Amino acid sequence: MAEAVLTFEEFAAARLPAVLRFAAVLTGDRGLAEDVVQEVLLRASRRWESIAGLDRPEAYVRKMIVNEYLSWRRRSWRLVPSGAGTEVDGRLTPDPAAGHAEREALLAELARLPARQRAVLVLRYYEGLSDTEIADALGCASGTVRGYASRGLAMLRVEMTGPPSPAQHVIREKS
Amino acid sequence: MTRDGNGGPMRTEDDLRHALATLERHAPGADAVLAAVRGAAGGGARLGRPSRIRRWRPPAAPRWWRWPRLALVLAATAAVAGLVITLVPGSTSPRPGSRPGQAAPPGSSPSHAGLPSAASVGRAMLTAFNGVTGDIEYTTQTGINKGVTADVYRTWSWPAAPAPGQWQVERTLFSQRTPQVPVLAMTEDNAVAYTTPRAGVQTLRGRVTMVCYSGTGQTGCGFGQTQTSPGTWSQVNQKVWVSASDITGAGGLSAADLARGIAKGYWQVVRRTRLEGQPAIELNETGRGPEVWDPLPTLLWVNARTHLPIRMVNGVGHATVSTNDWAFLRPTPANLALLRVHIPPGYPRSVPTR
Repeated sequence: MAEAVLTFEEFAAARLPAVLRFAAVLTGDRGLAEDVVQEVLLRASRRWESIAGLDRPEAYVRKMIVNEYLSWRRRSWRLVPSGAGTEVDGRLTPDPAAGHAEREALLAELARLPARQRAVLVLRYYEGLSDTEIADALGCASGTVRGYASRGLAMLRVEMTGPPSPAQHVIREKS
Repeated sequence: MTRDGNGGPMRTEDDLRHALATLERHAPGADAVLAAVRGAAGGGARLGRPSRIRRWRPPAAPRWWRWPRLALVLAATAAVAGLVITLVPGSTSPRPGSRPGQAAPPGSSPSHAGLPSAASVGRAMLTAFNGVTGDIEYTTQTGINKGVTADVYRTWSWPAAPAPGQWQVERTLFSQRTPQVPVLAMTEDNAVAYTTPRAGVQTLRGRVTMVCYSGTGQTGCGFGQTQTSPGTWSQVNQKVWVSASDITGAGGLSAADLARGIAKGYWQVVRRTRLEGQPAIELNETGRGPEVWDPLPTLLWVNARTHLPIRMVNGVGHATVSTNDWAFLRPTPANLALLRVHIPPGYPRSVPTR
């Protein structure tokens, strides 16, 4: 019996939350993640028959998301909002935990990386892709991927201890 | 966490993994995204045309306008002048790239014997900025799709180059065309005020004032994780990152960042020309910078006398084009009034949702 092809609605129902989490990590911005995913899903829905016929439709959609993010219009804004606001005249309290503050600092530095460096780090450390897979997603050579990763990690002062471990895949398979 | 050779903190790859995983909390709701996609596929947007579905969700500053990843088309630079149009009908903007009464930097008169090097143009621009650090930097960013203006961001930033400890205000006025309102309509007016941090510190708290206009179809105006309802205004203290810096290389679009990129060789000088009645040096982005946005080509015009930027056009020759215009305004009382968010009569103050 022929295997049933996943419909777009079925794909969205099953995988959209995970895809949105990926987009949120990739972009670091809820609004941008929403824009990028909407744009990609609209295009994907229009030619879903061909995408559904691929071995890994979700991987293809994620690749579309990466490309969409990288081609987004360059920004002219100096100020990037972060977190929730406090009503003016409200008392501002410092972050209580040093660990939380350090993570926020790391995320702030991550947000300032050039988009391709950021994409490479997200694909390697969040998605758990190999450099070859990342190169395929970005349409460049593996050596270029390593260069982006090396520069990105240096900017973030992250010490590289070895090749990405398969355990990283666990992170994105939480639901 | 360990220490590096200089005693500074060194992070581990696991630190990075855990930090990235925390960003999942920013994931948008699946139902809203899917509803927008369904609406665009079956409603306002026609199949086969460039989609503009981001118009259906509440705008959140900062905004980006999508660029289709199209095959690179090398448009003849001579055709560019025809593309450069007045982008905001009825606008009373000052002449781009100029400042009334500004003297040309010594030795900056253009030589017609040959083109200046990109490095010298970049250096001259940086010198020119020293003369306008206390001015209001006014930029207009316009997105055009197939000749139709899709959105306009007007930003006033004062002072143009603040010193640490100095109070800075940045106001952005956002207009867009939506399926519900097919003419450019005022959508959002916001201002961020903050004390400029010392060098190297880019995370700070600012006072964010937001007016969210009603009647354009949006359900709210977002800024980070806060959202202001249409027809109301809000004011909160909020954490922001100052993103434009050398770190972002050519990623930032501040005039100073552009100048640094030019000095580093990310642009090449094309020719001398005239734009908006001004003598101009035309430059073309080489694609050698740390970040290149599709689609090239991107052209930039710099005033040949003042060495201040006049206009930049991304995607020349493509269906979608983005332009940036610059002007530097003296901080007169009238011009400083442009930094204030205008709260329309009858708009109540609201508490933004999270």
